[in-house]
Amino acid sequence: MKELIELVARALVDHPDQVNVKEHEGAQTTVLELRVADGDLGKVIGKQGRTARAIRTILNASGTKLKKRFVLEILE
Amino acid sequence: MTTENFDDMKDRIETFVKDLVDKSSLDLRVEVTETAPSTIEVSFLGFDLPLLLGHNAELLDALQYVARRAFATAVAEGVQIDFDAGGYRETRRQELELMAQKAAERVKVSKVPFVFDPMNAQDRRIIHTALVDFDGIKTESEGEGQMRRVRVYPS
Repeated sequence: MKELIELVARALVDHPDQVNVKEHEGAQTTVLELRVADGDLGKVIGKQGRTARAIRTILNASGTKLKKRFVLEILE
Repeated sequence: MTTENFDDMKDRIETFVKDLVDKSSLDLRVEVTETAPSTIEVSFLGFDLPLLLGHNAELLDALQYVARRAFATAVAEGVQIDFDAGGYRETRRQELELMAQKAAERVKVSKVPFVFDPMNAQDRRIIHTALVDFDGIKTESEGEGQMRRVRVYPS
């Protein structure tokens, strides 16, 4: 799932080389921590959090397919 | 945008969406076509169509939104990127126009305003457009962000 978030984040930001995703797999929930360059935070969050919401919708669909729960955390 | 640039961008969109579908483990086939000048349609077929179109096509819209943001430069230059699947957009438009008609007739007779459930900008626009020439009522959008909704009221 790390690859999915990396793909989306890299496509959205100005500094794709600074996209970093860490995956913490729990028993039921996998947490994905996304870090981007300071100036790119708005690009992955979007107006009123719309971009972040769209990414989470895609992530949830993927979770439905894999019967797992994924949580996306965007770190500042 | 030149034809070469456009074709190149169309290829990049196709690669991006296919990659996205693949990495999301979605069972969908992707087709990218130029349906009109400067208009790219991305359409889907396959087992996961119900997942794509559930909850008023929440997933289809999420994919479309991400693609539009990812290709924001092209969008700013006038390229339109539209996602569809199984004729969803047209079916939805007809459904919304019918809802608009029903609401307008009700408001005209009862003189009581009617407020729709929250909708995205695209859906709200269909309602407003459908009722532009309807006598005796007016429409407006109210609320903010995710909660924005169309209100039909007597004029």
